[in-house]
Amino acid sequence: MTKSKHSLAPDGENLRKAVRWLAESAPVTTTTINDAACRFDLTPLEEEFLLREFSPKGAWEHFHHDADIGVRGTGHSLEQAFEQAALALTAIVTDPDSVRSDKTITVACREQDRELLLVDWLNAIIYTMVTDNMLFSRFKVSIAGDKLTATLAGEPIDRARHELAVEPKGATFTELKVAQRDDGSWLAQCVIDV
Amino acid sequence: MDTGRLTQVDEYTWRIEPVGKMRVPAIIYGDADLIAGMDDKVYEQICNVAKLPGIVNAAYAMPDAHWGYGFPIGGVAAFDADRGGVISAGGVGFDISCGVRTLHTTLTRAEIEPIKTRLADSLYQEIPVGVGSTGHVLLNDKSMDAMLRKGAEWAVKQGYGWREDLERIEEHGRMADALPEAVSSEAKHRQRQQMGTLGSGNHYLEVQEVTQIYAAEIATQFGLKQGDIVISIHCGSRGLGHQIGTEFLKSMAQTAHRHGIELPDRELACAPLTSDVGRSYLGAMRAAINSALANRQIITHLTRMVFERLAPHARLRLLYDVSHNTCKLEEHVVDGVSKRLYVHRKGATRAFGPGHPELPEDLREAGQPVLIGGSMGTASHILAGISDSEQLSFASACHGAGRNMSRRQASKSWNGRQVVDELAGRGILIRSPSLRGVAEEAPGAYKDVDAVVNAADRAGLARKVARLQPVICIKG
Repeated sequence: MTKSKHSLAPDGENLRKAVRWLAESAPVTTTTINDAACRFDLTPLEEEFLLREFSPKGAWEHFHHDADIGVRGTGHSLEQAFEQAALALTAIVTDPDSVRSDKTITVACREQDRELLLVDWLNAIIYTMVTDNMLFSRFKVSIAGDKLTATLAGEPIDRARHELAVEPKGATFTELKVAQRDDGSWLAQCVIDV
Repeated sequence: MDTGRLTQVDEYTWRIEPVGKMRVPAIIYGDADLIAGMDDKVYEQICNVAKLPGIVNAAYAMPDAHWGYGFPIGGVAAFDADRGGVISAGGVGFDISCGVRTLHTTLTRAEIEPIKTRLADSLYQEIPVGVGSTGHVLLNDKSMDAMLRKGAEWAVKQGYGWREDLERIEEHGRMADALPEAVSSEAKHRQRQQMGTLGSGNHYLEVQEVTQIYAAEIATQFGLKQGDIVISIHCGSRGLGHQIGTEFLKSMAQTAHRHGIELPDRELACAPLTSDVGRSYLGAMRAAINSALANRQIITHLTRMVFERLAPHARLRLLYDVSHNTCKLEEHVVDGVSKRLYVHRKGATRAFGPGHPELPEDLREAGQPVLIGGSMGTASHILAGISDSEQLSFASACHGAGRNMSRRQASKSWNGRQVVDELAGRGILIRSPSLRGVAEEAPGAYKDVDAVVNAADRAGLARKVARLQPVICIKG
């Protein structure tokens, strides 16, 4: 599902300049990468390469809710924040590291409002988990305009191998937030009813 | 929650006067300790409910109230369709018609002791439980629609249980005016393999002992005495209800402005009862209620099959089946006038008092059995509805204990194996596919159910009848 770094590394002069400039202007943040992209007139592909190489890796966490569980994903892009929120969703059910990514499934949703798009995205995963009896550990999200397309990679639930905690019922609008933070990174979160 | 923000009416009643856009006051029931232990979000959410169009009397929070989505869990609110009243998917919850049913067994603790381990193993083997479990009953399109229309009545007709069970289920086992055509194909697809499954989380099947009787006369009418063994089943409408909740939460949020509803928070998504979305949700939700009733009926049948094998002289009669995530059209007296209102109970149990026409004849004098589930390893309670609660909370009481610790905190605080071993040391057998699930549901992660039930009793919401202690717990 993922390509090797080399196949995605554009080999342009502007990119080399941008990399040198970034190295000198440490610490590198999403904002400085955006600056570099403007300054050296990088293509979107080149900027994405820089974001992947230099930005901190995306992260997920669970946040407190009395009865249910909050999922929060962060990343250098909206897509990565959505991918990380999805990992947090899997982590409600089981340890994502215990889930092989043998089989891929494609899902798509369309929604203009980014926050509702997150809810749709998480609900699409929940639906696929239940109806295909699967768990997913790798996610690749693309968002173009109001359309999200994604590949989920996972495997069928194995009750002997996966330590299964609780099934998610649905994503709610509680603590629902999709936003770009001051440092340029993205956050995507909501409470999942379990 | 800071009790200083509330006006104390009496020892167990607290009031928030309407301010800003609140149309009615909010009333919270509980003692000072329970209220102090509630999250501030309960205050925020119950005040938001009080802002919704067509709300009648007040927005109520039960003694086990905690932070939910939209409505707090433990929230009760009634709406008048003739005065712009609304219906809210978040006011019912995703697990539509989640509830508890309790069965007599005609067995005593002494009789169960020699077969306890075999009983625990057999129940665990026969009743599908936990994430990814699938049921034995597969429905095609036709049988799915019949099930959604007729609930437990359909299940009994298929051979799952007895005709007499139906009298001891709310709505006689069949929620009227269900609209299977308002249920999406996705929701039906999600349910296809889940009929007759317990699910996970706080859902369970427990074999319990009646260890204390508080109201002897009512207990006798309920057929309960100290030392009796009963079985309680706690689960809901499974994937079908979850999908209906998911879909309507969104469509209600998207259409609210079209109906001129200003939502205090998007999570409070709702629609006028008379709107297309509102009517469609009502029909779909009623179908989900039938799905939950059929689900608990099938599990009852599976339980009886196990007992037939291991304790053939036992007779598993149904005491009662009551749901605690619903919206129901009921007759209530408001300012001396009888009105038909849509009562949302989210994590709250209907508690009709003696004489209510909806109660089966043989329970009409005692009042409705109010079944309060504990958490794994802790007590459960049976209460009886009392007439006073009609005026206090549209005849509603609490539904359980409520968490006092998140799942994450719980799984860090306890080890599943230790919890199972400790409970075994106290004579409680746990059977679960997931040790992590057990840790997340550890008894210490929940509030004290006794305190909640005492508050409900003292506040006049329902009357304590019997306390039950777990003997076997099949946990999702």
